[in-house]
Amino acid sequence: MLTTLKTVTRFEAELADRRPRQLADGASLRDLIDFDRREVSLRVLYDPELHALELKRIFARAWVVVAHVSELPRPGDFVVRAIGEDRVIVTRTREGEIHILLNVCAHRGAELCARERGNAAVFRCPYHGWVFGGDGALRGAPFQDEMFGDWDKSSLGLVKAKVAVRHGVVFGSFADDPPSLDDWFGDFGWYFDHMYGGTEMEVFNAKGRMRQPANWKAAAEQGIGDAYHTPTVHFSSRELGIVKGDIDDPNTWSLVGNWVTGRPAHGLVCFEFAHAVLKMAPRPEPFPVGWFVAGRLFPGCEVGGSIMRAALPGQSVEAEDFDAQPVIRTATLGSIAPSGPDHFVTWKLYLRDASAPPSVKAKTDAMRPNYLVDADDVVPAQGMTRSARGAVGARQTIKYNATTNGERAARDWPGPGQVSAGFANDDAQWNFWLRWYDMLTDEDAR
Amino acid sequence: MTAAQRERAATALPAWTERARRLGSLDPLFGEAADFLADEAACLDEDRFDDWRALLAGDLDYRMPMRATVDRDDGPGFLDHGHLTLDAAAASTLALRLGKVRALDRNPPPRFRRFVSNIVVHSGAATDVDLVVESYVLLLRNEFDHAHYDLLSGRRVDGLRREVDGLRLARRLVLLDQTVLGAAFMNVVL
Repeated sequence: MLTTLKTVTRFEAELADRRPRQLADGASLRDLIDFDRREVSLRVLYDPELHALELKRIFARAWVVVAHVSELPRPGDFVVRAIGEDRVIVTRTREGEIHILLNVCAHRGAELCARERGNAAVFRCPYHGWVFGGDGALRGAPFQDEMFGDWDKSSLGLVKAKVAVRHGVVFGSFADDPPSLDDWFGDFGWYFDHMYGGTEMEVFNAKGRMRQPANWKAAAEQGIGDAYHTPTVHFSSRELGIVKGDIDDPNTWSLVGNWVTGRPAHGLVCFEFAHAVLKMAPRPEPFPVGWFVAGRLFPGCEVGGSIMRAALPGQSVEAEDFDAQPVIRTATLGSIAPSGPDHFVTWKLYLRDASAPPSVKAKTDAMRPNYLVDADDVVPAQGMTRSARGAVGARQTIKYNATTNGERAARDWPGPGQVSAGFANDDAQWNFWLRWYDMLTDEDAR
Repeated sequence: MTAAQRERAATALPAWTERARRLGSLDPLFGEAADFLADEAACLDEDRFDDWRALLAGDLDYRMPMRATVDRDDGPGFLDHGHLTLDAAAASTLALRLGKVRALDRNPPPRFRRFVSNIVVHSGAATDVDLVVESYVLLLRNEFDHAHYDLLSGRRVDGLRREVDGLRLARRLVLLDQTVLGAAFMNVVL
């Protein structure tokens, strides 16, 4: 039974003690969050001043996922992505290194690269023709002797994000002194290693890039741990047979599982494929074949992995043959990026074991985005953002009154973190807001 | 290589799009194709999804590839992955999703209007289509009390086949003009 009064953790108490800045209308950031009741002001989903602060204090400091190395197989390959609202060119140089360059010319701030992807040895600014290498260094400019004489090109390279590549996933950070990726991950690292580590992975499919009229946080905080919305928002998936089972059975709606969260803020749901064909043989790995892990890493990185047998659920295979089916690992990887206070954009890749034989890889060809289900989620996110525009609406709160205080801790769980078992809860979403508030009010971080 | 073959190679158009003879606007087959496209647009705009499904061939292959902005020398920028990929079975499920089930974005249904124009008709060189019909489409969408419209445009290359009861849509390739789509266009047939 969940208690109604929440025990405030030490982290929350520390956050509550901060004396953050005021907003232009005199309200304090401290007014936006209630640690005792676990509520957040709806104002945060529309306020342009908060949005500008988030760009500086969250997106310009965090580690943000920008690409997978298999998108950049050849020297010169590049793809343009975003960290917050800063466009970055993710490149692979001739030497094989990955660099992340701010897509802003060092000279007069023109947009350097107008392509979204391609292959180029250098980037030439369309304004005065300055030429930069894939490593961001200024190589030269037209008439440079006449114009600039003996100039120091080494200080005129492109601004670069720090790069961290882990299991083929490329992260970038514009912080002056970001934490190590291990420190940024915290408990999440163990799960990340299981989803993406072990064998090399390759991109085999993608979800269409999209722009939605909602605040990025409405989608990010839902994705980090909201399973409760499923029977209502995604009711049609049951009518369409995408989801099967009794509508009164929480398992039908993926409401029962193992819920992993923790600092800095990640949320994952881990559960077995529920299907009659799938037989679970005891496996030595922590995540046996047939487990599905999905969720988010703050601020908006979408992660997910599953280890399946080549015979996917739904295919009829005799039980005794099933365990002999080869295993293949798949994963999703993507990101949400803000586009103003009331829009966001998304991209998502589908990955699989690169070294699996072609006949096994072919089993993953049917894995694709399920737009029939995804389209449902647009409505609540848009609605919350609109609600925040009104003076009275902005004063309402987003409530997390189903946090567990550790009352449903999972037993014998192999991984680290704050793990609860059973019915869904608000723990991961509350951790999202704690992390949001932490970064927003951290005056010292650079 | 003919000009048409070069264009196909550059945009990686599939073999069924190969055109034989141009059928100008005075040709009766042009009129039939134009009528077909107008009827199909009306079915979709008026939420008559069962009527729309009746216009589809059993071996429907509908693709709407993703696109990226690339260097001019690299072609139009279409990618291998698809925004929406349909066979007849998926079209049937989509029709249910749009018309029958309790889907949040479908009740109340937004208002769609498809403007189809710039129709060019050829007889098909490949055996699986009779007519290769190209058209522009401009789709407007409005919801609730919003002043703004969501809009999306593109060019379609269709393979129509004459079956016992009339023309049927057997193949469609939708070549969009946007690289990042409004989320309002998920599950929308162009």
